[in-house]
Amino acid sequence: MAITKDNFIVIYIYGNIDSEEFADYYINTHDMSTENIDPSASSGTTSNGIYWQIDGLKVGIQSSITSEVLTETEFLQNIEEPIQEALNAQELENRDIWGIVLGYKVPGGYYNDDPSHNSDITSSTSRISRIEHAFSAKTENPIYDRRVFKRFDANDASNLLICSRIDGPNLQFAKDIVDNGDFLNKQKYVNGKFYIDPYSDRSTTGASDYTDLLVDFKDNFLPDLNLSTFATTFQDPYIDPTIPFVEGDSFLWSWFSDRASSSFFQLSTSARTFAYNADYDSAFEVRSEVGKRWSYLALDAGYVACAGAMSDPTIPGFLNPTSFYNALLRGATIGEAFYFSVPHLDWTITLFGDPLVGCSFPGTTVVEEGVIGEHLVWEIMSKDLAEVASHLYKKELELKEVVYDIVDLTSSDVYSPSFGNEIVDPIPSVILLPSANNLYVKSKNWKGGIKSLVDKMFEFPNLRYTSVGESVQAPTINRYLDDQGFRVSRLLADITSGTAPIDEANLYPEGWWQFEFDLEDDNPNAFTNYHFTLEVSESSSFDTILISKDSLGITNWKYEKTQGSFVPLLFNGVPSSYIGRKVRYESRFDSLIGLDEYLTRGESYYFRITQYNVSTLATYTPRTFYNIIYT
Amino acid sequence: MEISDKYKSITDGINGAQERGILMSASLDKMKTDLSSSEILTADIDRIKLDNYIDSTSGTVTLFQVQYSVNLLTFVAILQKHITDEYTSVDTFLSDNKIKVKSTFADISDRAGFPIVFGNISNTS
Repeated sequence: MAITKDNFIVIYIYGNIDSEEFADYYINTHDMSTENIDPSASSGTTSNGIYWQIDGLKVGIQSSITSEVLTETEFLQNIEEPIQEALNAQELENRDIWGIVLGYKVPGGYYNDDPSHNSDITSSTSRISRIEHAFSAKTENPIYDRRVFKRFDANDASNLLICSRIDGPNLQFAKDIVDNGDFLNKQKYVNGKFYIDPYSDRSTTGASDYTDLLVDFKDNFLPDLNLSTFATTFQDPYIDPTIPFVEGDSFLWSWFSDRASSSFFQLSTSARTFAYNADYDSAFEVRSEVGKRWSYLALDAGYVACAGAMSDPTIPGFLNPTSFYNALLRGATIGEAFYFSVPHLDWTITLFGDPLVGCSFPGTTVVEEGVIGEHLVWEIMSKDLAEVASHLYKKELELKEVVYDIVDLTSSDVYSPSFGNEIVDPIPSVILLPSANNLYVKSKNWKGGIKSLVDKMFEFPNLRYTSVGESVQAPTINRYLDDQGFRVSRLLADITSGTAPIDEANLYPEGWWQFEFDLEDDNPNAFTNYHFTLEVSESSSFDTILISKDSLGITNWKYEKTQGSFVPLLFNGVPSSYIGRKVRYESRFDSLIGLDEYLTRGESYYFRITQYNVSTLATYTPRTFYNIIYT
Repeated sequence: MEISDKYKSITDGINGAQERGILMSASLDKMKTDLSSSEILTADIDRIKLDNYIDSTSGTVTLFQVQYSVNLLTFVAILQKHITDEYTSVDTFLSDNKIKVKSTFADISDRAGFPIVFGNISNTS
């Protein structure tokens, strides 16, 4: 079930007329309920004397202080404790609350009490998103950068709540944000220009990494949104190229110039949807009418939502555009997209705007998860077919062994207790041999049973890729394998050797194997970097282990960075972002150093994989697979 | 090697060889599923033809590798009949020699007219 308005509550300052009016405005815009299911459990007072009251999805907290930034203690007592008590009240326990809107006049963050970090301002959205968890500054977001997309769900809500803030210099400003969101929710599509500035003059640690991330997004993902774009160009490491102004814009993503003016935002007739400037204090003082920081300016210019930092989030704490827009493109709301793209929680970044708003991009096609690219599917199917061939090959060997066993029967004796321990001859080979031999001889013709399918597979590229737009037009099977970097099993090659011989370079060595498995979420409550141990055995009990590999050694381990595309594993392992993607180990053979991991063709082996947390060394439940060697 | 070991080796060989038919079918089913999960359009003529070839091969595998062939049933019938002639029953032979046959072989034996009691069938494949 995808997130809806019924999963959200709106927080207002109880006793503040403007704050409550805003909450009512938001509630009415979204047609949310203000009726309590259980009126007897809908209000209370915290131990520090802060009253709270629930009216359906509207929650008032009688905070005695509404400054934009509080001290840690003030925030805890006035904001966090009453919200937490309300969430734990039966009235809200009866509802699936996955998100919170912090309304007008709700403070935006707090200075940390810790003297070593007292210049850090924890944003209220970031802290409240983790309200059910103990505070841990800059904790890694467990749903960050999800590579196999899925909508935010109840499991995610157990890790964090989608929390946003709608605030500004005055009540009308906050209401306008809601109106802008409502307009986009009704219009749905966005077709304004995307402005992106991937470059800055920063030279601190991680700056070039963030530029690389933005350039990668600009080159490889942004075209999928089918929007016209404006991008700055690299000039000099000491010059920060800036976007001079935006006009007709729907999206803005830039860094680093940290101040601007209202003239930056020229007219746009397109829905202004999301703006983000990666800097150190964009979210600060959003209530100031003379603000020159990006969050205020973007909201003032009519943006539905934006994000910014209350204080320095550090460069690795900046939002990831690819994960944000991948989520938005696949139907997520802005609230979901933000939490899929913010690296840290209990930290400084704030989401402003209506988290329930979503949008669509006209003329785009979304490739659903699980859809396999057409070249990749050919390679996968060739392995499926090689497995069939290897079973047929092994069956021939097994029936041959049966014949040998029968031939070898002549000298065997058996005693029969039922017949007074007389020696009897229960299995005369002369009777059995003809029929056993029949079975064996029939099995030797196994290639004929799959030859037509193998031929069809091998001629498929030649028949299919005939247009001049192909990298190779009507390729032979060898040219296709070369072009794609694929290899095939010798068992298949032997079947077609008469009609379409496969070049030696395009064949797997006999006994080569590759073990592939899905990365699983063994530690769902925390962002985790996984490494792996792989053991191979002939027996399910693994009493004798033939091969044992640890991915910390890295060599020949790969993970699926994008669908179907594998890259070498890094020392840090594979992060939680890649849950659902594949990890593989490829066997090695090097006669010079006496390394031979190849296994016997046609034999099946048990492969046991164990994921472990590279930081804590905690190991998780092993998984065992039984695979045949098909090369 | 004892005759009981030989008998066990033969029946295990038959069991393993026959079970490969199911594994082949599973690999062909996966091949078909992979093709259906691909971005190649359902109406694409090359995809349709390849899909038809997979279906045809699956049919062949079912007929010749999954189903029990006459040759297979004949072989097992000869084997078990001789055991029966010598021992009065296959089960007596199995229990006297503490042999447990595997489940697929037991099923083939049953189909060949020589049922085996549960106690003489091993629960591992």
